Amino acid sequence: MQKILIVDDEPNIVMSLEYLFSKENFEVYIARDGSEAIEIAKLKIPDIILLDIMMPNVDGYQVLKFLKEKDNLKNIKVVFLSAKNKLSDIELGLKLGADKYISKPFSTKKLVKEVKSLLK
Amino acid sequence: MTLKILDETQKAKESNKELKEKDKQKDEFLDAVAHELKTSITLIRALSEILLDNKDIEFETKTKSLNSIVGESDRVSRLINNILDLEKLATGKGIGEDELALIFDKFYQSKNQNILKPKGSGLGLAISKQIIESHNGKIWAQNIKPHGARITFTLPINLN
Repeated sequence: MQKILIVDDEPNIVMSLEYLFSKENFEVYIARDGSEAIEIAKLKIPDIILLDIMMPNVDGYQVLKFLKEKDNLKNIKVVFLSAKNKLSDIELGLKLGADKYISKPFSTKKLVKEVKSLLK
Repeated sequence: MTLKILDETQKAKESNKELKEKDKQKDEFLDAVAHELKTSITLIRALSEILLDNKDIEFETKTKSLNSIVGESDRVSRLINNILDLEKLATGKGIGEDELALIFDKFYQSKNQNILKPKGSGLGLAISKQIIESHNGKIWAQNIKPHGARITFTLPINLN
């Protein structure tokens, strides 16, 4: 079973993505902010992380930077899910090493497809 | 002459700085509004798609999801109304300098209103002043013509 970590400070978004990926037979972990995401990533080493950017305290960029600095975490696939959709935001996200940048609002079907194709 | 030019240059620089600051504030405000709107729309879309794609979804989950959709739609409406209200703030006709001291008097109505006939009772600010002063606070008005007027009040708080 593949492991997915969903990180977003909006509880209802976390809840719907949790439902969505459980239905797709993923082992789902959730985190409500950046520091929780780092703790769970270290503990569970997920295959992929869906990462919001704008979160209080530790934001998505900081989480990604942390992952990329650790040998055992740097190969985890990371998809940014963000309301920030300026070209400069997307470029920064990809430059930091995100595998995909998906702007909110997104199609759930497309999201599942992108996640599956990244894990092939 | 040189002094005058220097003075004008200084003024232009200050005004330019002020404009840049306002522009930055506008961008930050728009980013925050866009973030809030997109968060709600993301949720409305995700929940709707889940409901459409999973016909066998249990009743309790379905009800919870539909309630969230209604709640998020309300959140979007409130946000839009707040933005529209904010747009009105800054767009009033302002209060004449000669009127600033009078507007807290009972039944006083500004001559300079947007509407043909004043519609209020002329009591709002007088009542506000009475309440605020009875709590040892202060209330005052500033003219920010042509954008409107700003009413500010202070209230002392006992931190103990």
